[in-house]
Amino acid sequence: MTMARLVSVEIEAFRGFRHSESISLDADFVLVTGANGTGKTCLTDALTWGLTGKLSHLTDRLRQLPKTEDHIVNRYAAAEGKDARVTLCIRVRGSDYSLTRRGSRRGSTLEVVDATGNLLSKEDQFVAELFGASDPARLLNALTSWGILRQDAMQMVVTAAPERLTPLLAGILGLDQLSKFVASSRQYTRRLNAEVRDMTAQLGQQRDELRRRIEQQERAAMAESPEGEPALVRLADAVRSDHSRWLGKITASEMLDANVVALAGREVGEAIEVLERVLASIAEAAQEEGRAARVLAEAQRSYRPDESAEAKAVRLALAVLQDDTCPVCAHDHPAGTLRGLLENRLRALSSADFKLSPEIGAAQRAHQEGALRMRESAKQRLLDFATRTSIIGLGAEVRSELDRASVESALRELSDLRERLRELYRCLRPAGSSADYRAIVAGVAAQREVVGQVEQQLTEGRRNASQAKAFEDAALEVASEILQAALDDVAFVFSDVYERLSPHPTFRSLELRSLGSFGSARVIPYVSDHEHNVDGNPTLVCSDGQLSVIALSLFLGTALTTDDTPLPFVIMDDPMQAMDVLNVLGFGDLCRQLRDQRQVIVATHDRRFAAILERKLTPRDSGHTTRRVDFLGWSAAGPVVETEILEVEEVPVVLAEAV
Amino acid sequence: MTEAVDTLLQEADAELQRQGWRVARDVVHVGESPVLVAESVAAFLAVVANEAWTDLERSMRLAQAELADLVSSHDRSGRRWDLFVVGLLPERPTESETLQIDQLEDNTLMARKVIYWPGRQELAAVSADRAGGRGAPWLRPFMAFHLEPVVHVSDPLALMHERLLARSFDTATVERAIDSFRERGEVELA
Repeated sequence: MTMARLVSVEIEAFRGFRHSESISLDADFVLVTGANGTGKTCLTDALTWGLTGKLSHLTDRLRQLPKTEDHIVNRYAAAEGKDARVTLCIRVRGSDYSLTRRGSRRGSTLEVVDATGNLLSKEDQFVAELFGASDPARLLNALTSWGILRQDAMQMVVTAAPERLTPLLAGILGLDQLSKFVASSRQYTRRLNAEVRDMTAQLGQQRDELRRRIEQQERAAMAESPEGEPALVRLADAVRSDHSRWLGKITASEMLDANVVALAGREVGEAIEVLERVLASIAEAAQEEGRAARVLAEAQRSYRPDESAEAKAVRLALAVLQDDTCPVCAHDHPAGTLRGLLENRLRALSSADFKLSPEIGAAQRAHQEGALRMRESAKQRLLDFATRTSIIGLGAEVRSELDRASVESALRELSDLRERLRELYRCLRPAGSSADYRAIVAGVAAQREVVGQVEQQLTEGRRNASQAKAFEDAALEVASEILQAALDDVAFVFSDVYERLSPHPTFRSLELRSLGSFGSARVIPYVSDHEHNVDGNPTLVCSDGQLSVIALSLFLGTALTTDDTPLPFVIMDDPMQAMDVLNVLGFGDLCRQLRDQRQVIVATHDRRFAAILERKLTPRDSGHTTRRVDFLGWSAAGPVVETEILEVEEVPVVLAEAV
Repeated sequence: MTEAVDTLLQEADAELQRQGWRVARDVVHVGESPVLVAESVAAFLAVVANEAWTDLERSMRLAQAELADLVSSHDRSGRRWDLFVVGLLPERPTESETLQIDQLEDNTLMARKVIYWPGRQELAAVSADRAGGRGAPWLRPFMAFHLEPVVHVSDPLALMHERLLARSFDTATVERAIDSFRERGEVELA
């Protein structure tokens, strides 16, 4: 680790700081206290911006805002036309460096000078190397991952652990190459699978083409081969004999002419369309008649006119009619004829009675007339078609009432005929010269070859894809194993921090597990109760307060584990906001040990917790220094800050005296 | 005092001294139960051990009072607020006793209380060798971090190569994959 320390920071026109304010940080433990909104977080922001020129968590908030908004420059200072300035004094291996960054949202400039004021560099690369980072991006990553724990990022450390922690730890452990290797293997498998999909589609197309060519060849073979001719004739004759009543005008020789067959097919098709329309008209007419009948039935149910005297007499006559003697005129008539006459008369009289209701009569007539018109129109359509088509027999289907069953039967026969004609046409159409036939045969052979090649490619492609998938799975498994083994080597640091804070009564151990899931090796934190052999994911079994402790454990564990850009400090902004007293006591003991490893800067708004930390972190020997930075309040002029170095508190040897 | 309790205290004594604490046995007395008292520049510790939880609970209460009295009469520094009473049990307590233990540990009045029995708060992820150098688990809050160098895999791709071969992938395939990744950053198998 580079022996370095933050010595002081001077902040002007930056965020909450309007006027220049110098704050000493020269101690191995710095306790920053103050109520919410007094500028404590601005101090951590100033350290981040001073070292990297970036405040990425605030840049995200700018996205939806006008370009005039500035997250760097203090609002009051901006009105005075000032740019922000942060000057950091750091001590590295006994030498002091002063880093001054000036700028705004638009960008910043950097100057690094030595203790005597000599300009050393204006490059961020210089600062990165000062902290042992290979480049500024790595320094930024180190700062935001294990250098500074922002209060708004506490929970995210745990909830977004697999996404954040995996690359972070893989990088720290020098295993990021493995993640990339697995990702590349997955990419390779995907590429091969895509190729297999393309080849499958291509094979389908080539097979369709082969099928089409084979059919063409079969048709050509039928016309070309010695056996083909009689077969065609037999097919043509069968078509003719089966449906001679429809195709009476077509001769046997015409039946072998593809053009004639095509024409016949078109006419039959047209006839089918006409018959379908006629059938539809018959159905509609039947519906209309049905409506008329319903109107009449309804009228009969609801309409009860007084029967006329004549109707009463006829009804009476029908009732008393027993032999050939008319009960009205007393003449002799055949009883059957007489009954028929009387019934007809009664119907006529009843019908006349209904005329008394003109609305009902009109409705009934409208339906009847509609049905009649439809039938007539259908009949006419059929007759018109029958006169201009060469298909005979259609006129015979036109009966006085258009018989539905006959039309349906004709439709079935014609549909069947159309299919046969199509089959015949397919056989007749390709018939050509022998040269054509040979070309067709050659085309089929060539296409078979193409299909064979594509099939072979596909088989090979599938084998390769399957091998690639097996390789990818194995690579993932191996990467997870290697990562887990490396995690086991460092896990005790995370668990050590967690156990010192001991936030959970039973889940007393924190572990990191490498799981190969979703196509990559992912590091997921778990809390465990080894006494009962039970564990759980912290996001599911822990309270917010306990999650804060886990976040802190992951942050500090990472900071203590890394030797990739090991920063000389850890800065924690309000890490105790969700902790209880017991956790805070544990945190105080933890900081007491941590200060021997890193410069520790802790900010808190809680006075009680600040008092606990101050008591626990007051130096007891000259080897330690503790500084308190109090943010007393905030106004438009900026924060009011006081700093105090805590004096070493000598402690007596109690046990020796007591003994 | 049983042999088990005596062993616990002897181990605690040795461990505390090994960690740089000043330890005394006869400074504080709680009836028949022996008490270890230890001091560092940061804190005071009283360690008691009993066979049964009921006895331990009483011992801890009395030890806390004795420790507070001892420290307040000799030390006016902030250290007098950093008192710990550690209770050791040779056997695992019952479930109902565990609840009482949790409640006692949550009570930070006068001193922090830590109760330990074998099996509690073990570091599963740490091998026996490594755990051996880290002292007793109940001492962890008072101990410095023992950070060992991170074990780095010098060439993770070579390790990947070796383990893929162990999974019966043929040498040519594995080498082609590794080599193409090293050269172009892309895995190629054929």
